[in-house]
Parts: sequence; structure tokens; C-alpha cells
Amino acid sequence: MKRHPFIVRLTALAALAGVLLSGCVVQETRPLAKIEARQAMQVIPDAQRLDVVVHTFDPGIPEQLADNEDALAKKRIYPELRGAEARYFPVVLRNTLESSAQWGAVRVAPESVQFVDLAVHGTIIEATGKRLELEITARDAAGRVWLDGKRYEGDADIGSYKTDASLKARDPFQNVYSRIANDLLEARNALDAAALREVRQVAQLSFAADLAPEALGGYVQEDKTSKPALKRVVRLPATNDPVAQRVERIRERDAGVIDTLDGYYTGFSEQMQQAYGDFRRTSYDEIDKEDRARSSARTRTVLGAAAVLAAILVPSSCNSQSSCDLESVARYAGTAGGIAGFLSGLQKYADARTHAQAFGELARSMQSEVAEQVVDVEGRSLRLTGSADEQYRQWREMLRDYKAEQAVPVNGEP
Amino acid sequence: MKLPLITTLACALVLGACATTSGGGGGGSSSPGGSSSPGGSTSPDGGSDGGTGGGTGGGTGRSTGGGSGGGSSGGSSAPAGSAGGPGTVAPPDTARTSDGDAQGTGTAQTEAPVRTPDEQRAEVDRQLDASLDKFDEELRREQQRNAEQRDARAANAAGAVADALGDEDGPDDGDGNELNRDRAGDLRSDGARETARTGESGNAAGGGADAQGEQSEGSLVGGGGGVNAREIPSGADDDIIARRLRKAAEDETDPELKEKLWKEYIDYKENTQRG
Repeated sequence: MKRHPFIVRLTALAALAGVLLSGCVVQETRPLAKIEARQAMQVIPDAQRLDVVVHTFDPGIPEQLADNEDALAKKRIYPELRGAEARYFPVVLRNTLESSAQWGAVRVAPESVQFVDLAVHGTIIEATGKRLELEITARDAAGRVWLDGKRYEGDADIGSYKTDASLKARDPFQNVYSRIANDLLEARNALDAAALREVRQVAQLSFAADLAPEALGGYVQEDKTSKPALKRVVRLPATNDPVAQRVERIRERDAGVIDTLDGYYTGFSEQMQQAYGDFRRTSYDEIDKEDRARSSARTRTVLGAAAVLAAILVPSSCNSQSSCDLESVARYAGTAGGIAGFLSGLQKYADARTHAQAFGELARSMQSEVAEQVVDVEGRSLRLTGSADEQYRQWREMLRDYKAEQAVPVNGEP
Repeated sequence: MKLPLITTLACALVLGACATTSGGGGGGSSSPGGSSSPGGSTSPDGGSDGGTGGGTGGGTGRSTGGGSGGGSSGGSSAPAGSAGGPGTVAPPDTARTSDGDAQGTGTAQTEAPVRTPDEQRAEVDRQLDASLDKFDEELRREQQRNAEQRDARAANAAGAVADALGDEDGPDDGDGNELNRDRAGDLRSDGARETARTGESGNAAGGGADAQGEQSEGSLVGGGGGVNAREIPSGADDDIIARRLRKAAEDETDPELKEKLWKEYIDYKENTQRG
């Protein structure tokens, strides 16, 4: 029996629509393969074990949208939540680096903290419960750029969302942090032992030069022949240099200040971890549902409209009463199915909006929960750094006196 | 007429002498806030340095050899005789208090001990030591405060989790499309809760470990056989998280916490294998 060509075309169109619809909607999510930070397999000598400071991240709020809450919300950016994340993510990166045992002390500190062996800066490009994208720059004390605004992105590992324990045990975006840690390790391994030792010395002597420029200012110089210009150690103070010894004692206090600041951020992240984990898990669901609904809505409206148009515009090719009746029925069915598909697409758009609103509510709620904590941690951090700055100023004066008194000839008593 | 003239001259001399004396006395004192009184300070450097020393409170007075008034308050040893009046050169040990307050004595001392460079260095070292000690103390206090706040938060969180778990009848079912959410307690809060509980009751985790464990399991997951009823999987294919959980469970001496750690380990293994 020969089938009518119109029916064949319409059936093919319907089948294609069905395949497209199902293809767009079904999207399997599985726990991701886990990437771990590479562990140290041997003891790293002290002189080569670099201390790392992960600075609090740039929240990555576009300047042109900074005052437009609605526009930011459309991009899933909630400024105060971003502010909290800018302090939370560095702590996760710190934990990752620390757990690899490849580094010396790894600390989180504000941007004002300088003179460290390796400083890591980050900018948040995207942060939701579903996806994270960070831009990372790492620079050592000599001025060598290890990572130059490299982008790291990844989807959440839903395995971490399964239980509270698994959420606590592994960050949903741990793979992102592990990749950063492994890239930093690779950059470090590209340097030889002498270069690593020099990085540590430059950090130490730069601190000393800042504190006692008259006595210890000339030990590090910029080598302009290298590109980029790197700081080089041109000579070292004597091991019994009294000013250097005193500066070293002060540097121990500086490390204490950084430790204290790190403690603030650790406390902050602990404080928000549980609530933030729940938020991310719930927001993952909402974003996932929104994305699926939006994708489904797009497909249904397009195919629904196409089916209606096809039912109306496909030219008639019937040559008998019965085939014309059949064609007419098919046209009605195509039109009705297309309209139904189009309407269900609109319904999906409405669903997507509902999920978007639910996410917005969640984010605003989370934002109000963390806003005060951010103010608190920043206030404490500023108070401590301000107090330390004042103390360093006094120590600078003392060391200047020391230098002046050192300059008095042995027999030149007044 | 002679007598009044002589009397006037005598009075003038006496008044002049009195005025000089009071000027010197004024020079010996300065306000704690760092402003030196103008009386005996003949050198602006000395006065300002002394003021700085008092004002900053950290012992930053410099040895400038300026006027004795402000200079001495800053803790420096101004050479005797350089002062405009009979100001004071206080001995180094008494010239500075620990917080940098001025300590003018108002008594004249014409012969100050001359310090050698070693003594001067020792003086700066003393100041530096005192300053470092003070800073250490401040840092220690701050760190302690931070640690206390973290402990308090952990205890509060543990209490809240315990309350929430007490109210729960069983695990959250959720809807069919949602991720499987097993609301078991987390490690930190469990540990903290355990600490809080033993702290409150004053009972050490002692006898009846199994009973405690079962009771605790019941409250955590709404009834269950506990770890003893479940087989602990082999650790051959453990990833880093599982290894840590396993090690923590093996090392834990508290039976109740140990059982919870094993449960976390088993749950984690099951989840990762299912995934």
C-alpha cells in the first residue's frame, strides 16, 4: 500500500520534533571524575618551600552594573554574597594547597599583605551552586608571573551535594581548586632550587628593606635585562648583622599578624560553610531546573510554531476524497499539536521564571545572612592591619635610630 | 628715695630668680598626650620628639640631644647643659615608662651620665623588646578571642544540629527528582556536639559504648542498626577523602564518635560507588 506523501512528511516532521525535544530535555548529570591536588612525595627543603598568601578575591562585579541590582540579578550576581564568596573561596584554595604538602605556610590575607614568597590573586567570574569560574594570577616575590589571569571553570560535582557529610568532606568545585594547585605546582617545578631559594631571600630582604631602608635597602635590585624585570639578590647581610637580626624578629611578628588574619577568614568560612553549602545545593537544583525549563521551552515553542506553520503551509497533494480527508485530519492534528507544543513551551518559560525567582530569593536570603559576617571580618581585619601598620611605623623609627647609633664611631663618645 | 630704689631692685632680682626657676620646672613635665610644655624646651626637635614619644605610646622617642623638657619625656637622654633652663635629664630607666607617658621630674641635674654606643644600642634594644612583647601580647589576645569565638560558634552549631535532629522523625524524603539528601550529621558538628554534651553532663564517654552508639545512631538517622550492623567495606579502593575518614575512624578513641566516623565512611563509600 502506497502511503500518502503529505502524511509521510508530517510524520517525519513530528518524529524529528520528538527527537529534538527529547534530546534537549534529557541531560544526564553524574558525579564528576575527581581531580586531586598532587601530593608531595618527598620532603621539600626549607629554603625551597615557598610560603603562599592567597589574597581575598575580587568579587568580580562589573563596574557598569554595580548600581543596577536587577541587571546583576539577571547575571546571578548578588554583590554581598559575592563579597562573602570572595573571602570563602580563598580559604578553600588555601586548604587545597595546604593538604598537598607542597608548600610552606599557606595563608589567606587581604591585599595589603605584601612581601610573601608567592601571592595568589583571584577574581570571581561566575559563582553559582552549579558552576564556578575563577581568574587566577600568581606572582612570586621576585616578580615572576606564575599564572597570568588564567581562567579555571567547572561544573559542580553533584556527589558533594548528596549528603551533608560529603558536602563537608569535599567542595562541589574541588576539581577547580585542585587544577589551580596543580598548575601552581607545575610552575614551581619549572624553577630550579637556586631560583626558589632566591624567591625566599627576595621576600625576606624586601621586607627588611621596607622596615630599615637605610641599613638593608641595597640588597635587592631589579634586573632590568630580564623580561619581566625581576628582583635579584645582589648581596646578603652578614649573619650577625644586628639590624637584620632585629628585622627578622619583627618579621616573625608579621607572620603572626598574617596568621591572625588567616584565623579571621578561617572563622568566617566556618561560620558560613553550612548555610552556604545548603544554599549551593538548593540553588543547584533551582538553576538546573531553570536551565532545563528554559531549554525545553525554547525547543517546544520553536517546534510548536514550526508544526503549526507546516500544517498550514505544506501544499496539498491529495488526489482523492479519502486522501484529502486524511490530509485534512493530519493538518488539524499538526496544527493542534503545534499549538499545544507552543503553549507548553510558554508554560516552561513560566516555570523557568519561577525557578529563577526561587533562586533569587535564596540568594537574597543567603546574602542577608552573610552580609553582617563580611562586615565583621573586614572590620577586624582592618583594625588589625591598621594597628600593625602603626606598629611597623614605630619599629621603622627604632631601627633608624639603631642605624644612627651604629654609625657612631667606637671611640667617638660625646 | 634710695631705699625704695634698692627695695625695687631687690624685688626685681627675687622675682627674676623665681621666674627662672618656675620655667625650669615647667620644662620637666609634659602631657601624656605628647605635647610638651613650653617652659624648658629650647630645641624644637627635642620638644617634638618628646611629644611623639608620649603620643605614640610605643616608646619611639629619639635621642636628639635637644631641649631637656620634651626630650626627656620622650625617653631620650639629652646632654646636660644643652637645655635652656635647669631642666631634667632623667636616667634612661626612669625617663620612659612602659606606655610612653612623660615623667618629667622638674629637678635640675647638671651632670648627666654619658652613654656609650653600646649603652645606646642596649637602650634601643630594650625599647624594641618591650614593644615586641607588647605586640605579642596583643596578637595572642586577638588570636585567643578569635579561637573562643570559633569554639562558641561550633558549640552553637552543634546545639542547633542536635535540636534539629531531635525534631526529625526520619530522613528527608524530598521529591523523586531531587538529589538524594541524607541528612546525617557532619563530622565537625558531631565532634563539637560530643564535646558540648560531655561538658554539660560531666560524664566521660565510658561504659556502655555500644548502647551509646545505638542511641546516637537512632537519633541521627531515625533508627538503624549502627555501624556494627553494617559491614565496613575494604579500604583498598579508597580515595583521599575516604582514606581520611577511615583513618579518623581508626584513630578515634571515643566509641560514640568512632562509630559516627565509621558511618560517615560507609556512607561516603556507598555514595561514591553509586555515583
